Amino acid sequence: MIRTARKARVSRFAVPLLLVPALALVAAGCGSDDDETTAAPPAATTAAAEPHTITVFAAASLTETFTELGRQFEAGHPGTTVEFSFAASSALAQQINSGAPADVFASASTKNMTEVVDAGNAADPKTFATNSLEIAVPKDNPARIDDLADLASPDVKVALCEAQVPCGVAATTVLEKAGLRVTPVTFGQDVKAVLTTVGLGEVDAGLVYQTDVASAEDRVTGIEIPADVNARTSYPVATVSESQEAETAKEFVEFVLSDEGAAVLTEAGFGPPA
Amino acid sequence: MTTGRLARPVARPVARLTRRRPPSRSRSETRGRAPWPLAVPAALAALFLLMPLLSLIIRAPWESLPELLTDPSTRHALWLSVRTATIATVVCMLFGIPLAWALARATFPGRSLLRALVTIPLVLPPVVGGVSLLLVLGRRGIVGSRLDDWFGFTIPFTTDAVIIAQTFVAMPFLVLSVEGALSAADRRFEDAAATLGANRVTVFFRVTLPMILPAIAAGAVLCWARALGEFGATITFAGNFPKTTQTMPLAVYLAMEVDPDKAVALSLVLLTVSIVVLVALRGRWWNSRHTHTAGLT
Amino acid sequence: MIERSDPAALAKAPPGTPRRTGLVARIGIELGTLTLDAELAVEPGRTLAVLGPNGAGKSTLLRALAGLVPLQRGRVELDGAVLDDPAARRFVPPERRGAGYVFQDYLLFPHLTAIDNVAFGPRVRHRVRRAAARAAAREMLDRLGLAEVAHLRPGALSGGQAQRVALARALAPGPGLLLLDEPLAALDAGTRLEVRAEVRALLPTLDVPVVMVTHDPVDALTLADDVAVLERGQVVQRGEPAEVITRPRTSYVARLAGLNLFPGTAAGGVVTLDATAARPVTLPAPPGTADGSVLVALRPSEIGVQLSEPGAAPGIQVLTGPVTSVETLGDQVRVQVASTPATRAEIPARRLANLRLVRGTPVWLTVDEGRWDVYSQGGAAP
Repeated sequence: MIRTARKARVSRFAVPLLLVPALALVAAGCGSDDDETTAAPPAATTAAAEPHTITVFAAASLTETFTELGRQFEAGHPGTTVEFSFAASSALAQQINSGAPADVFASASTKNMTEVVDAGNAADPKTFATNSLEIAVPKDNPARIDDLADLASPDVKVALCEAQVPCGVAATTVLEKAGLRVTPVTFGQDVKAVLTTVGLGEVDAGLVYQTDVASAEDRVTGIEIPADVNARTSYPVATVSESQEAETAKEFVEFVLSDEGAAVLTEAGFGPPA
Repeated sequence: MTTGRLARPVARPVARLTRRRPPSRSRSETRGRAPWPLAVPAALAALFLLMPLLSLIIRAPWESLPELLTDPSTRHALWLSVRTATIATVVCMLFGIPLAWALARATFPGRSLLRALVTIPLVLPPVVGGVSLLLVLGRRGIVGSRLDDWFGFTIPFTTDAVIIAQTFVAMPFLVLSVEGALSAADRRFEDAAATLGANRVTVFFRVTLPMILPAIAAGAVLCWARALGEFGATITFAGNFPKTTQTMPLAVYLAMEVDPDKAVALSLVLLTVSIVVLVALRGRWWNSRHTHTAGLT
Repeated sequence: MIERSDPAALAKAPPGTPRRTGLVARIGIELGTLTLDAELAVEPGRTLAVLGPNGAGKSTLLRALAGLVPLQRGRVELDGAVLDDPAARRFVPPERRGAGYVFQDYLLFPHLTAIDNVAFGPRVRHRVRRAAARAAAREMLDRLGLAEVAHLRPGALSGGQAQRVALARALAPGPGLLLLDEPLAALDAGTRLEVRAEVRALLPTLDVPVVMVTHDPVDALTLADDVAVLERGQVVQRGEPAEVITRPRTSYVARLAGLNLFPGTAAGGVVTLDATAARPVTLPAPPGTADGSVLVALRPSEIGVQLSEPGAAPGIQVLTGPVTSVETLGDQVRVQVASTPATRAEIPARRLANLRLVRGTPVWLTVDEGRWDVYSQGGAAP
């Protein structure tokens, strides 16, 4: 619910705490429902100036792109506000299944989306982008990392994503494909945490998405992973079933899937949905 | 003349009234009960604090509990948490008690400012604490970079880092508790000790310290509890790696995403350990056995 | 028992010194609104009582002797050793002075048993091992009749027991000076009598100077060899207890002693009470009284009270005025009269019934002229 450009902190009391704003949101939503049905449906981009707010739960790796998409969507839909919660897709899936008040869910892995769909909280997900991994090193590359094999060296401090988050799954795949055993010094709770750790110079290298390297060019340097060992992850998006703003949520999803949405994603380094 | 006839009918109802009326409550009894404008919010507050704990117990996956708990990762996380919290508490005491003494007794410029600054970790969001620790002790930190250059060792991602993070957030509890007790302590006992021949160091160890022991214990318990539950600073500064830096709170957080039942089980373990310690210490230290009546009955 | 003399003092005294000089002190301290300026000297084995009202600076004086408050002016010397001399920049901290201090509320360490309280000094000051210190402490407690409370905590002791333990604790390290701050004040009347008797027996055996602060004249009378009266930071009278109590120089002591005190002027063999200018009250001056200011003391019990004006008679002084208060104290009644000057008379209770005195009743007070005690400000009249 918080409009953040970074991942949101998930507290241990996520469920009870989220119920409070959930109740508030429901109360707010109830008011505008009547208005929507009585007004004559106008053109999508020039909806009547009734305030709509949607909450988008999006994977941490989508932070910069979706923030931009939200801005563009708000510009095109006066009176609409898009609020974001960025975190690891696994965490977000868990929250939605516990009843968190999201309207849209954009995941960095199909597995987490399936979790939500299976629980009946979302339907008809569509892939809107793909991503692959890249090695991130601090700007000056103090450990002189050249390729994946360097990560297995015992002197090199590596940060990886936690095994259960999408980028952690991808990292495991990549390392398996490359036949390497890498022992990190820390497992980040999402890809942005790993990126930050690398950017601060606390570790010598980390495995993050190539879009993350692109988003932090001032702090990190990227080293490509050969395509034959790389993992390609798909990003599905769907509206959440219990959403109180189903119309607007659907419009946002369509926007993400549109050409304008694709342009923003491609510029950030995401691959096409194919 | 009519008095005789009236006397009897009147006498009996009066007697009945006085017999049937319930014995009026003694004043002490009525004073003990809370008046309802206070009792109701108090009850709600208690409920608010206890319900989450009770729901942990109610919703615990009792059947799969043994299997979840004997998982080695659980044992590692628990042992790490208890070990680091205890060491952090000892460190807090070794450094926090002298600091509290300096704040309460020594005079130096900027003392009141220092007293205010020392409590900052209390109000600082723990993650911010973790970030600041990185800036000082991280590999590129003000102090940390020197450590790396000269000695080749770094602190983040080690168990020591966990202890440091816990010490940082928990020390103010101990310092405040001890400083409060020192300020309130009757300095004349220290005068008495001086007249008996004790120098200042002896006075501190033989008179002052024993007399503030309850406050030290209370502060240490709070300190330990806070260290045990520390999450934000730990994950930011020490990172997350099983056995080395993955404490119970981190384990719970990560388990929530994958296996909520496991998260509940872990939470239950943490809750049990905390309750056992708090209850065990509560009786011994939190009542004022050492009341300072100074020999007067 | 541990060696009693202060080793430092003995070292300072030249060989062959026949006597120790005791305590010699000149104390000057500014305390906010109060300036403490007092001189005193106490020989070993003698007890000085410092008598005075609250706020006079008595506790500060004692604390200065102990070294808990540094002097601003003056000098404290014990058996020749300088303990505090601001001019010479010399200050011996309390832990090295060897001054035993019994505090008004005892301040027994609550976390130690009685025996450990008493053993504290020897362990800490003379570095005696715990077992030896405890043995010595037990011996001392036995002597004071406290054997059965040795292992109790201070909270479990009665007032009298605590007081004696406090005394034992102060004495255990063998101090060269003993300071007592209102030692009996916290005790109930019955215990006070008992403890006073014990202290009276004990003090002379110590052979050290003892300075005792008190506001109870009975303590001064029974326990002290000398009295110094401290009012508003100044010593206003000094001398032997009986002398001070019977011939007070200030209204404070007079009040304590229960005496009427009138300033007067002696001229040509006649003493006129001051403040009686309109209707002078005169009495013959005792032979040898120098002209000038004098003090006249009069016991309340030696004043006659009657309701009618007495006839003039030689050798009788008469005062008159309305009764301002009547206070029954056992079988005596204190009658305060707003005569000129104001006077307090004391009559047996049965007389009160006869006289039926109430506030405002005009009375006449008669005094046999031999009952007045005239003495000069600076010294006693012969």
